Parts: sequence; C-alpha cells; structure tokens
Amino acid sequence: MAILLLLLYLLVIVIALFSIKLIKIVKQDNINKTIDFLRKFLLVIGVAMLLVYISLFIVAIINISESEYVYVMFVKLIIHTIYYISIFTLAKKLLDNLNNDIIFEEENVESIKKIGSNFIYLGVVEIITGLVLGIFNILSDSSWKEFRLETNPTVILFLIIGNILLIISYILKKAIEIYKENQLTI
Amino acid sequence: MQRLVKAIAAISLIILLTFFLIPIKLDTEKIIKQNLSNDELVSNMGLDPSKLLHSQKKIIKSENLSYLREFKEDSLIAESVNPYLFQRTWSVDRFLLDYEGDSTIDTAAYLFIDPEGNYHVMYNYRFKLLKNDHNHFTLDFSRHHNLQLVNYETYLIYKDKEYYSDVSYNFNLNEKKFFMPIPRFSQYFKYPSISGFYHFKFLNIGEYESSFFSLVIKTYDYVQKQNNHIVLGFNSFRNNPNDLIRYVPTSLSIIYKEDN
Repeated sequence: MAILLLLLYLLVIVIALFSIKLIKIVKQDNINKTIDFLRKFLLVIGVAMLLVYISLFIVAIINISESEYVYVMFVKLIIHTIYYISIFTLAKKLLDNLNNDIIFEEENVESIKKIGSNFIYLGVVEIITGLVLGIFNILSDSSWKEFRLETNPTVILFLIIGNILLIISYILKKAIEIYKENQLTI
Repeated sequence: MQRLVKAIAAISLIILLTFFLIPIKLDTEKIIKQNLSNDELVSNMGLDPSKLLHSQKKIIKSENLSYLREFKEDSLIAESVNPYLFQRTWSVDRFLLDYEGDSTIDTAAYLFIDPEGNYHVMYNYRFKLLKNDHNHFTLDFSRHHNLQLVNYETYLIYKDKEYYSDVSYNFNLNEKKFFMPIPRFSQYFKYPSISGFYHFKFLNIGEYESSFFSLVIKTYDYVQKQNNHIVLGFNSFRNNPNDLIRYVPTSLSIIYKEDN
C-alpha cells in the first residue's frame, strides 16, 4: 500500500510540473510548439491516470468481498476507465487533426461532442452509483439508512466541462457551415 | 463504447440484485435448537424466555440458579460533576465519551442466586453487526465479593434463529473491562445481529454479610464519527483523527437487598 501511495504522489508531482510548463508554453503563442507539448502532456496524463486506476483496481479487488460498497466502487472504476480511454483517444485524434491543418471538418465536431458527452456520462455515473448503493441499503436491513449520494465537486466539474464542450462543438459546427458558405462564394 | 458501458452496468446491477436476494450464508448445522422444557422452567421463574439465549436457559437449569430480578439500562451518572472539565482517574478518557449520543446496544442484566448463596449476574447485549469489536463494558462493585467469570458466549441472530459462533479473546479479569467479541461475518446486504452474554459469579467473602448486592455495569458503545473530508484540488482536509472516536456510555445498576 505504501508503494502505491508513493507512486500516486510521484504522478501528482509530475502532472503538476507538466501543467506549469504547459502554461508557460501557451504564453509563448507558438502553435506548433504548443501542439507538440500538448501531445506529450496528454500522454503523461493518460499514462498517469491509467497507473492510478490500476492501483485502485488492485486495492478494490483485494477488498471486494468486504462489502457491497467496494463492489460498486469497482464497477464505477471500470466504467470510468472506459470513458477516460475514449476521451484520451478522441483528444489525441483532435490534436492530430490540428497538426495536419484539418480544422473545419465534421469529424472534429463529432469528436468534441463525444468528449463532452463522455464527461456528462462520468458525472451521471457518479450520481447513479451513490443512488444504487442508497436504494439497496434501504431495502436491506442495513444499520445506516441513508443515500450515499455523491456530492463531491468532481460531479459538478464533469457536468460543467461536458456542457462547455458541447457548446464548443456547436460553435465549431456553425463555423464549418459559415466556412463552407464562404468557400462557395469565393 | 456506450453499449459496452450499458452492458457492464446491466450485468453489475444483476449481480448486485443476485447478492441482495441470496439467502444468508450461515451454517445451518450451527443453529442452536430451542429446548421447550428450559423455556418452561425459565418462564415459571418469572422470566421472559424470548429475552434469554437458549444456552443461558440451559445454564440456569444445570446450575440450579434461582432468579431474583431483572435490571435494565438506567440514567448514567457521569464520571464527575462536570465531565468536560474534571474526571476521575479511572474513567475512560473524557475526550472519547459522547454523553449526548444514543447507544445502539440493547443491554439487560439478570441477577440469580445459587444454592450456596453466591450471586450470579448474566449480562446480555445485542446490537447490529459491526466491523469493529471495540464495544465494551466495565464492572464496578463493592469488595464484599470476589469476581469470577463463569463463561461468555456470542451468537449471530438472524430471523429469530441463533447461530453459534466461535469467538474468543484474552482478557485480564483484574481490569474489569470486557469486550463484546465480534464473529467474523461478511456478506453483501446481510446484517445479522450479534447477541451475547457474560456470566459472572460473585463469591462471598466470609467475613461480610451477603444479603446485599450492588453492581454497576457501564457499557461503552463505540461510534465512529462521520469522517468529513474536504477536498481542495489535490489538497484535502480531514477531521482530527484524535477527535473521531467516541464512545456512547450507558449505565446499568444492580442493587439488591434480600429483604427487599
């Protein structure tokens, strides 16, 4: 357990350092350099998250027979991992398109829309897991009759990010329409 | 991808539902059978047989105990006039006690006397299955008697059936602090109760008169306070761990005089 904790701290430090570096590079206003760094950043975040989730998987599997709460958390971890993998794949695709000057394409709209939807689903999964546990515990003769509703800020954060990305996807869709009209006019 | 997530969610919900519907996994061979003749004997003494465990009734019969009186939880007298400022040296740490809380342990004590004139106390407790075994009780009695622990037993109770559970622990009789052992049991959505008893014998010390008996049992219900965890980015704040554990104390006084 101590090794897993140490690993977690190391990852957090690496992510923090990369984030500071990213802000510095964005300030330089060099698109190619920024895209290059964003790729690395995405890779680091992706690998870090995967490692964190693997550690959590191990801890959850060891303790899965302890209580139904661990089981629900384990399922939540699996679903989260699927969504995160999808988000990272789509983000990488967007960066590739940006690098290859593929901007005003329906493909990008769809990718942003999917990322936005995935974030909303992540928020929904958080809420549903809390509800499922609450309902089952009320039905069974548990000593704690309360809804374990997840109210941590990440739920709200997921929903806000998802909504903003959906808005951006519609802005891009509108931009593509205007771009196409302009192309025809010329 | 959505299909995969939906499939995982549906399968896990079905598994969860199955776990919920699975009957309790308790060894049926360990069910303690009811003995009607013991029940009748106890009932003739003026005791309610449903309040006692089957093995207790057996002990009452085998040791030929005569029932004197039942004692229930009464008002707790704090360890000092102002428990938040002063305490007696032998009290449980004042910072750990929650005088306002409600105890989740049902307790009762039964006083008996054996043919030799020694007092017997059977202290019963019952509570919902917990993951910790910190619940305990202490005994305070006059030095007119010598304490002897005859035995202690713990059972899992589910749907009015008693299941034998083999629990044991080492304790120091001189401390007069006794824990309520927890049998190891874990099954999703199943919460049997734990019911047990301690059987104490108070041996007479020759030079004192034995017509009066007094005992105070203080029960300490272990309560793990809700752990508030405030997250600010990667930083987080939690309760002071020293302030998390609290015991809800309750008291049970046994005062008996033969003429009374």
